[in-house]
Amino acid sequence: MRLPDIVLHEPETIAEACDLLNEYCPRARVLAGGTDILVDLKQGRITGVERLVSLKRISGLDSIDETGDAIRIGALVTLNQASRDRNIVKYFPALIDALESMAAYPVRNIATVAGNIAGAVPSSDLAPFFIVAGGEAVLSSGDGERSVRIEDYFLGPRQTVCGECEIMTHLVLPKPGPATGMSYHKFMLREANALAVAGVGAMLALKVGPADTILESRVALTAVAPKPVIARDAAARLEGKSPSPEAFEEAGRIARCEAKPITDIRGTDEYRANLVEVLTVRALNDALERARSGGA
Amino acid sequence: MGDGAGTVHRSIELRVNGRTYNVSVKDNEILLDVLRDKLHLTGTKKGCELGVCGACTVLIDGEPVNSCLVLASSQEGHDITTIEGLEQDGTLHPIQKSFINEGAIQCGYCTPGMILSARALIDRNPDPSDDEIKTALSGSLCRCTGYTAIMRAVKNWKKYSDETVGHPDDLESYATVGRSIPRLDAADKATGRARYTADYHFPGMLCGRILGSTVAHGKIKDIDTSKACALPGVVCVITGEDVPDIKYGVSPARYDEYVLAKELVRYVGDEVAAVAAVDEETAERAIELIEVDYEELPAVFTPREAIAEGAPQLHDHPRFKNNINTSVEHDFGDIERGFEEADYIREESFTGNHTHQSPMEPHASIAQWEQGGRLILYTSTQVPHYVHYMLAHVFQLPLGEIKVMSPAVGGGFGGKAETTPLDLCASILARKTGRPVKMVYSRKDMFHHGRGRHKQHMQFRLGVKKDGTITAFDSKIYLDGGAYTSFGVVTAYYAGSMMPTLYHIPNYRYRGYRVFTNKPACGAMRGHGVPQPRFAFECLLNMVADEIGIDPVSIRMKNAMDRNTRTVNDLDIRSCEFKATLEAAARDSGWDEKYRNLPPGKGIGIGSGGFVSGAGYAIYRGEVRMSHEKTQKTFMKKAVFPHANAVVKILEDGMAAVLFIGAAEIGQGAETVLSQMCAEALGIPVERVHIRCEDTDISPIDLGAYSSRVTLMGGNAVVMASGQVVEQLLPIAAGELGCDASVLTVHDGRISSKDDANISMDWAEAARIYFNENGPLVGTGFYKPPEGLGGDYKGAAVGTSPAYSFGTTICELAVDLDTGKVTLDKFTDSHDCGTPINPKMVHGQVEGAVVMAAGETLMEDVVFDEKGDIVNPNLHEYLVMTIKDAPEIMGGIVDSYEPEGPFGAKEVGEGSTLPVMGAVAHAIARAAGVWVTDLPVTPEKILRALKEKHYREERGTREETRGTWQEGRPSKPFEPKPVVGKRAPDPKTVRRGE
Repeated sequence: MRLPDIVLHEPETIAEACDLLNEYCPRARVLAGGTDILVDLKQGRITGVERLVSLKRISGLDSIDETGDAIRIGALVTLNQASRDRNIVKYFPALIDALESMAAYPVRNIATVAGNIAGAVPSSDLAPFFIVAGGEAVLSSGDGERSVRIEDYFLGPRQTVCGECEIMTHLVLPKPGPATGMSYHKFMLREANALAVAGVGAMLALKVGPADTILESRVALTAVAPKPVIARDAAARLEGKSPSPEAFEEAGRIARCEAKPITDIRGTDEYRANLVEVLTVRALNDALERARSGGA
Repeated sequence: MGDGAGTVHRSIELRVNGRTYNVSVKDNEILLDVLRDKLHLTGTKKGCELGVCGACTVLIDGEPVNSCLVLASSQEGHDITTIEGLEQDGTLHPIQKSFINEGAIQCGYCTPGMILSARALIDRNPDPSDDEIKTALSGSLCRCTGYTAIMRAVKNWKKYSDETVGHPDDLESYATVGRSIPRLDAADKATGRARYTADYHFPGMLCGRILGSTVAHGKIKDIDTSKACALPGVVCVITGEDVPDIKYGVSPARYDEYVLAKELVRYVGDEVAAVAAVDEETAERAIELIEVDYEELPAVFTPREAIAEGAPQLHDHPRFKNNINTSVEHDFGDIERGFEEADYIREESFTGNHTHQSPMEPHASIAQWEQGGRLILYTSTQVPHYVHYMLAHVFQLPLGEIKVMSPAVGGGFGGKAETTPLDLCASILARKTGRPVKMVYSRKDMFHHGRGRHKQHMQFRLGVKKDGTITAFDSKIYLDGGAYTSFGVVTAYYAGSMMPTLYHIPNYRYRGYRVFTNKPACGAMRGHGVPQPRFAFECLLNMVADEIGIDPVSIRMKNAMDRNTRTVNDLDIRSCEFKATLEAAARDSGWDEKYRNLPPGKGIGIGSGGFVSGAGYAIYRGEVRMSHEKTQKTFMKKAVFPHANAVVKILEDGMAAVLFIGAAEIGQGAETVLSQMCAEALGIPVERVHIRCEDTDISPIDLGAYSSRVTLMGGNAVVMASGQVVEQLLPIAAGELGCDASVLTVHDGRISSKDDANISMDWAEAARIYFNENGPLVGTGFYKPPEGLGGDYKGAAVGTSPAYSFGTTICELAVDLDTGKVTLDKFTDSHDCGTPINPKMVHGQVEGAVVMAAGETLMEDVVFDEKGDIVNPNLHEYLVMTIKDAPEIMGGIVDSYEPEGPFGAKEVGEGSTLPVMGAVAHAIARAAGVWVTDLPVTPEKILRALKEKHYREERGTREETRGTWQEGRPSKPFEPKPVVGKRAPDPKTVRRGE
């Protein structure tokens, strides 16, 4: 199983990379880890791509940096690199849960964090986390850049707001506030190398006191709609309430209604809706526990 | 070749295993292909090409990555390590030694990737936890080992920093047999030296590919190959017109496949054309340029559709009316009377799944024709002889004009038990082009080629007395056969014949119908035809036990087969320690304490099973000769020719023996156990035995690795050949020692008097003297199954065997009652395999069987869309269990002695698959309170059943009891018939090694 003919470009700056994309779009694509695009090309799932613009030689894209109140993840940072990073471990254990649920160890040495967002598959494992964490993508067009909230990033299956000649150079995560907990729960049909049948990310920020109150809440879903989605109503119902099993179950029921799952080989729409309800409760419970135990 | 406008060649430096290679690559070349094809580092294996199987794992800068997902041209400046790079100055890395000694290697195809991942892990973390090991190895799929030994190898790696290794499982009584020696081929597999078919390269070799039909049923109106022929680099294109007008297949009475379709295609993937080109890329492109015009015909995808009135017929032959390929109508005892005698009758229907062997090594063939017209075929097969035979049939050549070579085989499980279109197309293309042609299936091709397990639709009825005694069993099964016969006739018979081997069933009726459908043909898969009916029967027995209030272990003990029994369908069971397996599994799992005392969501379940130890009759009747030139002989209830044959030749210095036998090593360990038996029988250390299996020119025929036949049948031939050597040697030694040959015995390289240890000489010295005086010291041996096996009814041959295995497994698991997700905790398995020749390898077979069968129960299924195309022809969505899914497995072997087997041995590889599915389903039923009777038992099906149950409970409607109580007629105590021929002794009375 061979790749179609392609030309590989390895520019050394973002500007050069964007120029190449400008010159050759729509027949050029960005290559970071390549675990999605090479598989798609091999299987003929995408056609008409003649050039790959690799980010590999562009400096500054392979690190995770702390910048004031945020953590910046470069476009070349691999899944394993992220899951070992000091700052990720410290601030975002939920991201590690998501990372470790993905593919399998050797693939995680190649696949990138940004690629999982940029690829915009409906079952993206990292999208729910980045949505609930308030993450943003930095998109560069060579002569300028813009930030887009991840919750606004996806338009549909493999469709995003990123222009054909733009490159996602970084993902930015604001450091979580006090008493804030996040989580990701994924349901898959085997324990490694499996896509999500459904996945739910949750965030809870508490006002800590004799009776906890939920100050802010977010719930995001994956693999249950044409794109990763935020479950606004489920989260909104929790705000101002004190966390309780009943409140979480209600949020689960609402999230279930916010999902728009389809039936495919991994599960029926009905089963996925069930999973959303169950996973939402579990994700909220985990987020609550993390929020109470000091945050993140 | 195939350079488009956008292809760029560049010269790069690749640093691999500390060496720098200057290599010219194109931008679209994948590292895996460059390593294998340009650097000839073929230890890096190709398994799925999509980053799922992990066979291609290499280390880049010390970290494992899938080399199939990496562009070669972007690897400059990185340090790449392949399996070939682990050995330093001839010394293996301790992790390699650990894999070799802990039994972590079987077929060896996942081994390089596993070892490299493990090496990277212990470099980061020398004392990894179980979870860390599982995470690190989660990217490599293994189909053989069940991961148990692999876990052990990684945990124990430090032990192998020094050399000494013991074998705790060893039986004391023999010198070599019964010892858990490491596999003889393990070191080659751990270092990347072992060569599989696709690893071979010949000068001038072309690459071939096959084009499959895109429609499930159709007439070929036109094939236009002009564009493919015009593609630079294409050397030859063939279609149905270019292949012989001779049908082939497995069962001689139903050869029904052409090498390439002549007029009709019957499933998506049915072969219509093939191409040979200068490289694989060009061949792939050429296939896409062939234009086929089909007139689409209506198709049928289930047995129900296929047998319906007015359904389209797949094969226009009166024999296959209503698309029924095979029908079996068996009646034993008096079924009506049996049900009248029952106090409780329970009926249930079960549905199986389309599972696929999915060995890690894809099928591969390389054909070349020598000057003078002799065909040489390298092929990845379980059955070199049947491939040999089928090539002779299709090409109308005497067997002597064909040589079949079988290099290392990366697993088979039944999927490599027949001649493939690759074998035949490669041979035709090689003849037409005058060049060697290599053809390898992609993972997708493997699924389209099919030959997986038949999906069976089963309706079962079981009658028992109040005390659990079985009085009658009625089975009706529709087998979804796919488009061609393949092994299917045998499958349909096996699905019925093996049921009465486990329990005494006095009255038995079986109706089996194998039905053609427009899907890839189904064939033989581990446990051939039996696992799904066995699953259904074990489930039904457990349902009955629970409903009538008898413990599931007790109901099995009540009905369990005894040694030296002739079953109701006339199969002779000799050794049988089934009851001992029940007792051991129950005891070791703590069954009595757990069965009724686990909390909701936790379950424990039991299943039993067993299998033949070698089919009693060959697949074709009559002599070994080209099949078209002989007339069918009347079936005489005896083997026409020996099924296993061996030649033992002693090297002229007396220091080594070469064992020639055509047995197929497919990862199960045939070479090792046959060598152990040879060494034991010759009385020399196993290190001095060298086995040659791979060449039909030099090794006499063995029918191959199917029906779990090699240990027993090959072993008997080896013991006989070795005995003949010893027989010739002892008089020489007697002359030298001045004693009578009858007092001499061979042991560990010495020939000694049984009476006086001082009378002794070197074995090799005696062998040298023999050679000096008499020329070559050679022994020959053969094995024919006992005469008269089986009854006198149609189909009685299927299910016959010299011996039968028995086993019981107990499964413990958890069910998440909110999602239906199943987590396997532990299996406690006990098996009667006769005397184990190599206990560690027996455990390896059991562990692999447990994980494969548990995966079949829970997640494996080939899914078809409404047009008959496969939705999941890949390892990403056809779910083979990973190391993270695999349970803990406690394997046990009970004391047993099979009089028909060499040293008392019989099979283990297939029999150990059979108890598993029923045990898993039972444990789920106990944990969740609901039975799921259609496979696979997915979380979704469990949750649906739970919801239906809750719904019923809310509405106050109780689940209807499915069984019926009645006043059973009194029954006579069942008196099983005795066996014909040898009788098995009580194993307690057997003194081995004497």
